[in-house]
Amino acid sequence: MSIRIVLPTVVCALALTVAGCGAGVGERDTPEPATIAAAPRATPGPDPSCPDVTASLRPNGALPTPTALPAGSTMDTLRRRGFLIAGIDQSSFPFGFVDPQSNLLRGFDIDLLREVAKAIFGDAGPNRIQFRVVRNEDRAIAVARGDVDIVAETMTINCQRRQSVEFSSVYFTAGQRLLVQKDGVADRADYSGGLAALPRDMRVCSVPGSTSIGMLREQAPQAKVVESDTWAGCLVLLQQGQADAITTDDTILAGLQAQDHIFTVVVGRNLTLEPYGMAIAKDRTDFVRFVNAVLERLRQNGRWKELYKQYLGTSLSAEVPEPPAAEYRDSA
Amino acid sequence: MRRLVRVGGTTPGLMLTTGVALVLISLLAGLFAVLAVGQRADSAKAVATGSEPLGVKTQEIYRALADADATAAAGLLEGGVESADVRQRYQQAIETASSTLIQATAAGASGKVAEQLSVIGVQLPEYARLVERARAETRQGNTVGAAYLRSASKNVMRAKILPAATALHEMAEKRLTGDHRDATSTPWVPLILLLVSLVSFGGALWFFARRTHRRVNIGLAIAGLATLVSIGWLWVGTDSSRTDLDRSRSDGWGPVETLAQARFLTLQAHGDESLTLVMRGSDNGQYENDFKDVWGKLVGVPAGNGKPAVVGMLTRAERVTSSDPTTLAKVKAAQAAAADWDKAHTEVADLYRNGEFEQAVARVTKADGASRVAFDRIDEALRAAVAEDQKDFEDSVRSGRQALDHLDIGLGVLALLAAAATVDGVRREVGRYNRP
Repeated sequence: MSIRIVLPTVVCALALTVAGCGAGVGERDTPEPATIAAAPRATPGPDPSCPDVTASLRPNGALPTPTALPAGSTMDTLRRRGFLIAGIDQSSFPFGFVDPQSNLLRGFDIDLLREVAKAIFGDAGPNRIQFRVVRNEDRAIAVARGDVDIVAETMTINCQRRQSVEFSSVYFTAGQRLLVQKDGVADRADYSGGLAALPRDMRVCSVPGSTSIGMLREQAPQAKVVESDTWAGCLVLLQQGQADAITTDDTILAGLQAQDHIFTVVVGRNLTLEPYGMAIAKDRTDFVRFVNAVLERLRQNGRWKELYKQYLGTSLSAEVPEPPAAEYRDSA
Repeated sequence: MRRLVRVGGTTPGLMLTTGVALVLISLLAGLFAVLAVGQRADSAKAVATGSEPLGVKTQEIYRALADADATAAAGLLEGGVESADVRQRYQQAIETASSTLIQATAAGASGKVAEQLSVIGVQLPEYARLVERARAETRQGNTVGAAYLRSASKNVMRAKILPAATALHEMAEKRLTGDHRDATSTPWVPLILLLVSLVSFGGALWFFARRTHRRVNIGLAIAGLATLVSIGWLWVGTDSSRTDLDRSRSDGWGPVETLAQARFLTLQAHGDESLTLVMRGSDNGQYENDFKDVWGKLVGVPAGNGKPAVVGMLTRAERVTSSDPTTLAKVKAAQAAAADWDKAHTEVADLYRNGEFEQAVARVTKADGASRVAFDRIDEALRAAVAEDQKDFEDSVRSGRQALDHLDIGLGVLALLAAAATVDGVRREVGRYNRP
């Protein structure tokens, strides 16, 4: 029942970054956990130009073995070149980060890329992927221009980006939530009312320029916005008692929570839904289908849940959720 | 009264009046000369033992703080466990800053100086606390460690401590400039008074010679000669002292200032390079931009984009040390190292962009890393150049002070001699009239 009510607002929330849709978000029912995990389905939204924004291209049957890649395909070209060029971020713990101990790249996104590399080359040796650090605002252009073969960088699929790149199926659904200290007060308050119901003068930290801070200013004028230029900087403010809460995508909050796992907690329901996809050039549809096949396999063989457990643990929920189901825009 | 006027109108009376006036004027000129020389000697002493050492101290405080900031970043880059030399360098920098701070405070700072010292004194423990937290978090494997370091560097060190240290150094500079000006100004008042008394002695000699048909009054001639010697000695003494003191500026603290600025920029660039890697892109390229900015100030930027060319601090250092081959060689060594660093930094930036994080970090932190080696070379060359010019300063200021040695006593004795000779000369002349 809730699906019909929730989905239009979900698409609306997605479209917030593109065109403000304003009203309605705060009034909707709390989505059930299952709907959060599932990718928003094709429903006519406020942007009629791309109603099926999260629907990708269907895999061509089963995943071919590395030795049996179709001749002349993008994967074949990559295999012959010997490495994949991937756009990543090193500062999005736990999706893409440098392990402080080993100084090696790790993360949910990084491991997904390693899986793709393994499917092409048969192994995921250190030389199989050439990582390029791509700034958030350059992600779409880097793929479109061919600087990188693929981008896996907590990239939300939206209409504007879909105009310049093709996305894989949704591999993770994030949503804006709150992180508070476990002080016996902040963590026990009722956050079901969303941002609008936050206590007056609560000091909430967010990063200027993010969609989260926009939501915060719009929906919680009673709260005091504390700004920091990075999310980790927000955690510093929270730990130093200069902020009471942090609000942004739960994936980022999970990363912060993991660094102070005894004394902080992610609270509240999802205020937005951010479906993450890997970006690939529009003219490489064969590669999109191939990556989708890889993702399909990860969903089925339990590897996705393994990665979730490894990188997100119990930061967001006590149990590992089901992976988001893939949607395809062409019929089988 | 009438008798006095009558006596004054007579030749002996006029001679007596002239004599008294001459004694007064020569004693006054002597007094002013002694005072002026004493004042210059005091100012020169203040330059040598007060304002210049304070300038050096404030410079040292700034350097130590900037060093701590750069080294803390480099240490964090190595992960939770930094190498012994990096840890030691950070520790030493903080200790130097603290102890120099205490010395400066104990020296009896007042007013604005005390204000800035207390800003540093209050914020330094806060800075150290955040750096320790950054280390502890990093050691736990928490990436928030980088955010703590950034908070320490951006919100405390660069926002509060370094500006206070800059203000402190500017005050010391101002004091030094003032003391230097006082020590090297030409003593016009005593010089003019001495000239007036010399002319008076000349006039009196002429007057006495006319009235007595004698050619020369020996006493007045001796007094005039003593005054002439005073003028010459005062002029030569203060002039040679000025020459030496000016050299202490042109070859001493002037270049030291430029070299120290270059060293600060080097430290900041090193810190920026490390912080770029520590932040791993979450600073949106801010530290890389900062590095470029600092680098431009260090090596210069050619004119372009409607902006005038910027003369690099190293080029300025080369100019101000051009007359001093020993220091110049060190500046040249720093320039060569800067060229190598430029190359190494481009490599680091490329490695970072290609996700070869470990390689990039190795270039910056490992003892044989290209970037680290180049930084160490510049830092060492500039440190040696500063020490060299510091020595030049001390030598010049010492001979500048020596030129004023005994000058005040000499001028006093000469003034007394002139007065005594005048009294004697006049007494002898007047005595002749009293003889029946």
